[in-house]
Amino acid sequence: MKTGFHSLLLSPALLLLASTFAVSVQAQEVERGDVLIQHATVLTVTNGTLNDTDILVQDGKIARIGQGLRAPNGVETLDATGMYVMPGIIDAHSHIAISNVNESTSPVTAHVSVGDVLDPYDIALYRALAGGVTISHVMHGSANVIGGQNETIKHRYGVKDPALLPMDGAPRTIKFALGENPTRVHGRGSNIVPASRMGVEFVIRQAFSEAQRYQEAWDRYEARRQNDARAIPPEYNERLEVIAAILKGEILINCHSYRADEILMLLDVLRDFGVERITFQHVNEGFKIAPELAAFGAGASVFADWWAYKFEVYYSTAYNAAILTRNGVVTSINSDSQELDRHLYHEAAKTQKYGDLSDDEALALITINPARQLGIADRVGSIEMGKDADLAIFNAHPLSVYAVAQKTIVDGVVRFDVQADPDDMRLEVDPETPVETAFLWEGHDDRCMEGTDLLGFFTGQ
Amino acid sequence: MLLTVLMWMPSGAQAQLSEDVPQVTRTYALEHARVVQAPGRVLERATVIVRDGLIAAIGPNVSIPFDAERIAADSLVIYAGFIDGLSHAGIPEPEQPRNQPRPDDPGNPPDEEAGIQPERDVRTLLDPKEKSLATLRNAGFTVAHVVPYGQMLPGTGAVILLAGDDPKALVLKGDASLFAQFTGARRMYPATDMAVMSKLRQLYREAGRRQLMETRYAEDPTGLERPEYDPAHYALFPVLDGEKPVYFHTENALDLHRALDLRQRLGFPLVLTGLSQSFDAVDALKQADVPLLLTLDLPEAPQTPREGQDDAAETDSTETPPTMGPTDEAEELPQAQPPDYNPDLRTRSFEDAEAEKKNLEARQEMTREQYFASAATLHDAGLRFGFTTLDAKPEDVMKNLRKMVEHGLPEDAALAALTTTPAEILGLSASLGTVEPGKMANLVVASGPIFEEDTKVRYVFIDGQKYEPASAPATGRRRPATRN
Repeated sequence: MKTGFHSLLLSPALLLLASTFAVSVQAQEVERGDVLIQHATVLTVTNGTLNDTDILVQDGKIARIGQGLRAPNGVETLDATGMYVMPGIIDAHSHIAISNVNESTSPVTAHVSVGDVLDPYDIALYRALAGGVTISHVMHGSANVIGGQNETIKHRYGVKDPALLPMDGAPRTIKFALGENPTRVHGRGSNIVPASRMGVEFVIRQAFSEAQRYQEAWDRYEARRQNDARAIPPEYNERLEVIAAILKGEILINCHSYRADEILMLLDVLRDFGVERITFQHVNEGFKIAPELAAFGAGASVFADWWAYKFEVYYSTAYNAAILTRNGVVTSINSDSQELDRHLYHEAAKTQKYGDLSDDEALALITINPARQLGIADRVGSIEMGKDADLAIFNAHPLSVYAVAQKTIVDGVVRFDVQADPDDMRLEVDPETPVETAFLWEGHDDRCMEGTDLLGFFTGQ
Repeated sequence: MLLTVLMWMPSGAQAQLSEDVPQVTRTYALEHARVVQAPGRVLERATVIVRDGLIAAIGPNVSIPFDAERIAADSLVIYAGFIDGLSHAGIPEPEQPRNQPRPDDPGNPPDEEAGIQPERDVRTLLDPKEKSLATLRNAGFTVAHVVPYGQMLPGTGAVILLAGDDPKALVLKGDASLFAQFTGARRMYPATDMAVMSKLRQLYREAGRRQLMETRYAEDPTGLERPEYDPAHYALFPVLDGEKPVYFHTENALDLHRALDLRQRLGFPLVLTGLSQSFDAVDALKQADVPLLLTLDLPEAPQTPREGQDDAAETDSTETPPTMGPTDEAEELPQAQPPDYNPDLRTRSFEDAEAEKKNLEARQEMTREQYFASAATLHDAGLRFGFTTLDAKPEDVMKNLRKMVEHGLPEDAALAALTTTPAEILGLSASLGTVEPGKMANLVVASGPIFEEDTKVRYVFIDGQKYEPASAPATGRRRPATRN
């Protein structure tokens, strides 16, 4: 028992391997379905629009796209005459289906992960399905400069085992946050660094440097171990493990940010430390620095038209997504809300009024672009043979104001059907709380800052 | 002469401090009782001899020792004393600190403030006068595995007798377990459940490294840096070696999955406790194959005043068939009418709000039934479990047990969960759990079969000592137990 554990400990890489193996074991139990969708207008997003076309789904994958396809034995047929099929919508910024959002007790909490606290019971999963969403990138909140790790999950509503939600093979991602949130929570809330934007930069540089030292210490130990059987490993620190993985490019940074100056700051820091990939979140002033973002290869995940709720979010425009797209930045539109994720297709449509994006460009903002940002574009984000059968069927073109989702399919399994949508779709019921006919609801449902009142921000100092 | 008699007191007279009456005898004969030696093993009419803390003999015709206190037990039923798998009995509940100053660095607080105290030994916290001991005892419990109050890692547990004069006399088996729960620190790291999980992983892995350092240093210190003692890490060494189990408390199905995830990643010996809502995770439990302790807490219906239920509510669309009234079949269910929940109900307008509310309440009632049937569900899945009173009010324990039996838990399985299974989980089967000669005299003597509604506990024997819960007078007014 002893020897076995220690050999496992001595190589952090083996630990990562162990957890990867654990994930793939669960993936074998994920339900995959077969279905034949006929006579639909298929919006592939990457290969144009196909009229009166069939899609055959087998074992959760898109097996064939064509006309006049026939269903193999036992495969259900869906008549989609007059309907539009698009790739399942991917929400690149969400806080649904997790029990915790913010571990706001420290400005650097890279070691925590919302993937550890997934909540398959969350009805928000179902409601988003009713808006055509099949994948959500559920994230740590924006209270910390370096927050916790996120998780890319599929809306397999109906499962009760949290291990069945993550999309197997999706790259690891982590949440960063710049600007007013971390400086308010930690600087003003706890009187610790950061209290200003320059403090935020320092926290990141310091964390990256510490992680570099940590990695070097472990590399030295690994080298020594070859010749010296008595070598003692350096102190294990999960937080620095994760940050070292970021520096190696194994974990993608998703950074909550608004102001052009702080975004450019982070790009400088990343260049200094050799990190090549990043997706900025919100990026309301992204239109000011679109060429710089494109030159770095950074992605941007924005709101369609949500701003002015904080000072750093004042200088904004509804043309943001269009301007970024025109300048060659991989842009997505996200919800950061369990209300907005129910109509992301309308959010995308706003870029046609504000920016004249084409149908495919607008649809890309909620399908193939977020897939590229999340590193899953080989699996989802468009309707192509071999990709996962994550599909949304609408009764009108999804960019039309009249569109209503009819069926939403995840891995070939119909997870939402407007014809079979009773009022009570809950998976769990609290046995003790009295049923109320009305309840008081205060504030909007932005979960990005949930959990930060732990530090008594509203009562302290 | 009188003086001499008064001054002569047998040396074993320290038994009751509250009364200066010396104990006459430690031998008892419970005559002609129905003895349930173990689930499924019953002696219809036998006498049990208790002597010097042990069950000396059982049988229909055993000879009664001359010094035995004879108790006529003709109408009584004797069971092995119940064992509580996880509890805070005997530990005074600490006061909540008020106006705690915010730590200077909430991200890196001292371990004790953050609730990380695996080294804290529950034996140093025991108080034999604590009320919970008496309350549990009156419900028929004789032994409990107790753990400290606290946050994520409150300390190590011990198995204790539920009666004794001083803290040392209570302890049966010390240093028995490591207690863990998903309770974060207040206003400092680790506050959320995900942080608790992270901290546990961090502690465990770093403890492995420190154990390695200790081992190497002990073998040959030359050339090696001195390992620094850290109580939190060092307390985990026996867990790393697989010698000390972690009792992980869960309050819902998600907690359960998360505890199992930690075990899968770290590999520590695990006992899962609580298991509320475990009916949603039966497959995971079967796959995990770990000892289980099910909570004796059950949900209660909300306290809202109910209007007359005789008026049929205006239901929408399809109506369910009329519910069955009180019939012979009703004895399976505690109430005659199953709730009539319509899963396909669609509420079209505000006028249907009342119908929707009734529908939701019906579903909530069905959910409560699911919780009541939890024990039966686990049993039907082939899982064996003990019980824990950690989340339960001791006064509700018998009532909840009976409810579980009413909802499908076989009586023998319930008795096993109270006796043989927890004895096995705690590693004390050799001395506890059944009524057999040679075992410790821990007994419950009840006025009838224990799971019947009106049965009362008459006596409880702990380590061969007799305790008598004060019986409720016939006036129907309940009184707390007096002499315990």
